[in-house]
Amino acid sequence: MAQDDWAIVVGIALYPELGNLDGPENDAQGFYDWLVAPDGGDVPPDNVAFFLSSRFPPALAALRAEPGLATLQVAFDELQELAKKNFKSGNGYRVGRRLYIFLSGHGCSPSSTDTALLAANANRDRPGYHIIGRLYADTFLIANFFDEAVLFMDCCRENVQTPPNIPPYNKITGPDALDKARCFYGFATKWSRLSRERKMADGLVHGVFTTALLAGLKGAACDPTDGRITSASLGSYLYANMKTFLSPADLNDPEIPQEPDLDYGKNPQTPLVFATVAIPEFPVTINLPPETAGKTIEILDSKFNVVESTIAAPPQRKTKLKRGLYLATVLTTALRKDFEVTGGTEEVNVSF
Amino acid sequence: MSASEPTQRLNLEVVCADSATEVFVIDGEFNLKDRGIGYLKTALEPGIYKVKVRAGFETQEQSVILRGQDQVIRIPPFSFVSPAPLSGTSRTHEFHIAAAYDESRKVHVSDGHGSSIFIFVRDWTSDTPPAQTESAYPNPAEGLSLHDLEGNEIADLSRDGNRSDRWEPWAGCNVELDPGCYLLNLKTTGGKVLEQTIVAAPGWQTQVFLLLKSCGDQPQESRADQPQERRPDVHHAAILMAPMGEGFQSNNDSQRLAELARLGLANERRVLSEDVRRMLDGKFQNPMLGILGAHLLLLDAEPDQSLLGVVVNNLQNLLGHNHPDVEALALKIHPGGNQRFPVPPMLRKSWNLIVNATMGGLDLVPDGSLAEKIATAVWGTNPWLIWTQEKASLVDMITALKEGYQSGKVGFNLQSLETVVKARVAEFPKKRVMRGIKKSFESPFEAINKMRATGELQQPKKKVMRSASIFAKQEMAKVMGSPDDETKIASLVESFNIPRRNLERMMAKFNIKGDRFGGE
Repeated sequence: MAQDDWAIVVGIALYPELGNLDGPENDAQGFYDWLVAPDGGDVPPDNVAFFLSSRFPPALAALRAEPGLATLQVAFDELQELAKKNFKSGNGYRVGRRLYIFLSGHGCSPSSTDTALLAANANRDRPGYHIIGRLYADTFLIANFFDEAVLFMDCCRENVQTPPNIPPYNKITGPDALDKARCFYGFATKWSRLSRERKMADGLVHGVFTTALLAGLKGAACDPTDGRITSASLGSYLYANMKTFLSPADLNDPEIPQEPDLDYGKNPQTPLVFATVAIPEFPVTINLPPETAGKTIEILDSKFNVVESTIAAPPQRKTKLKRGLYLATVLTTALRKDFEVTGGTEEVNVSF
Repeated sequence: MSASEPTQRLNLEVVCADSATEVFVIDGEFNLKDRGIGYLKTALEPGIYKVKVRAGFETQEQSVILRGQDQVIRIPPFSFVSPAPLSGTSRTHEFHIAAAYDESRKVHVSDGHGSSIFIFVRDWTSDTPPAQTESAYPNPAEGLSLHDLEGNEIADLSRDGNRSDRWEPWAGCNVELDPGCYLLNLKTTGGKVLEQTIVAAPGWQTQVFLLLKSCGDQPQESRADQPQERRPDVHHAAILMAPMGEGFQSNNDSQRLAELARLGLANERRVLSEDVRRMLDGKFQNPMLGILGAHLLLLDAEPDQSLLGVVVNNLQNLLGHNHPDVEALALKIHPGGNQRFPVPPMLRKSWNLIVNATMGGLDLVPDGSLAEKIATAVWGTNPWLIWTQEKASLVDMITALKEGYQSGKVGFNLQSLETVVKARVAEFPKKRVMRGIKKSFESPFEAINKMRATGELQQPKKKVMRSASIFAKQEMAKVMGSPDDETKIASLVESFNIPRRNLERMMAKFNIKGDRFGGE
């Protein structure tokens, strides 16, 4: 168990004065479930501050809505208190190995580098009630409260002129801040643009980014060579696959980003490892024209190694392959077709 | 070939028609192998690769089988979204191109000589008309007007100029003016007025293109059963420049490149290709491309100061020495120059240069000037500098805060730095703060609750509120930190993106000095 890891998970669905959302609670619950699962993040549940709108009494007005900014702030303050206690005990500021922050709800971008989760008590006149995830993650990382910070934010990044709510802590620069601290930050959308939520295969509404993120964390994003899910493999999975979870209408809208915004920090050469899984394989259907009957079909991987060789029996050959780029060829013919197994939701269909 | 044979590297060459196109080459394990802008030549082991290209907001992918011989991939021009009806962009109709061409060559309003501002606003909903179209569509220029710096209206775009109210309506107005700075106003459906500077340079026509978008600032309760109105999207405006008399040209490659540069800047992407750098190094003739290109240059980790100097010099030759965006760029070359900025620039990046230059104490933004007034009313961010026309000055707002708090009236409606303080004051009057302290003994982390139960971690101490004014100061201090040295002041100027003098006035009003509220 990752006894040394801590997490703050927030899903705000109820905003009395901004309009409710359907996805954030499902997203936060999904992330929490992965986070505490032994084959997932493996974080002790006691080390997770878990906020959902439904855990608070409903409020008619933003003024009393929870979780408000002050409530969320307490979670970060508590970690800072722990760091202070450790320091006073002569053990340095270190609280743990890794801090996960997952924030889902309405959001905005106070600047091009900042994404803020709006607290439940925010409204159009009080956009300053927000948590800028990156600033907290950076502050704790630079102070060496943690060796690693992992931040995921599934919220919009619309331009809203609001003063940034800066973490109210004294600036501490830890001795290992530059050469040891590692981070991986993932944002649902590019700066100034919207994120999307929609009903997914489980019948519930989820954020598109979180759906792709959880699919990746649960195995689809593993490195096809060793089964490790790393910040690098997760990043490449999200870049390639977030779009596969968008609705067709959103896919055709050039204003909707098809990729997340990812930041690997200053030490990307040593990627973070989130979990190790059995390398998954994904269904692939190769459509075979009649003239291929009895001929040999080969499937080559991206290095041209033969991963499958079989005698064609039209109309289809169904198989399973790891995530990657492939080439299907029918020997003694000119038929060949390259294809990609993205690890996304849709079955790969290959036609010559 | 089998995998065991020695691998000989092969060249993969990617040539993009649009030089502001980002190129990524990704291998079969989805690792990024190489990247470039506009052009890329890279040596790779034989294999299957994915070439991904991005221009503006759009991306395309294609796989490449690199086996036996080198490969050249040619990427055709992107059909990106632009409010300017440029050839080869999406969301453009032929009749929009024709209207922009025609109207940009007429003079609809004359209020001076030597320069002009052409504003063209249009709607786009689909490539082909629906089965049934309306007999008349709303005026797309509703709410748009052009003003001088004193606020006098020069043109009402919903009234002046020509327009079409047929499917995918458009409105165009060319205003002849004396060279100088003007203000484009948009009254939104929610009643907010957004404003931005448009510079009319001597001998040049500044062309402002806007697409309509559904409004997002209507009151929440009005949304459910009412169709959303469409208003010009000023945040994503295309602003181009052409020599006077030349008008809008839809097939101008340089204008297309300027649009890609704007999109690159909006996305904070480093899209300055080598050939554009070379072009900037010469006598370029597109000032807007020069301004945007210079800002893209500044996105580099180590910007080429020499090239920036050449660009600024060329821009000053083309536009004179009164263009606020050009002079803002000049601050990077001559930081101690005698520039003053009474009028805000057009670009948010230019504003950032001005604000950041004030960190060291340079007095660049005159007291009482428009630039000083808008500093705390900036709305949105890159690429254009847009502000809300809520005229309360900083002093007014702080005074209102103090008076409001003292009288118990705390419901202000201002979007500014003070909003945080006001909101916190409103949210946490004395009694509620005291109640909150009792609740805060329970940690959201069970692990911490257990530490407290065993005495491993102390209970949090009670804090006592002394007075309303102290509370307000503490809240302000929380927001602003304790700016007792130059580093902190510089950090605050950057964080709040307001000139140093604005910040100092704010601190003086709240009497924040020393480390009175900070520290553990």
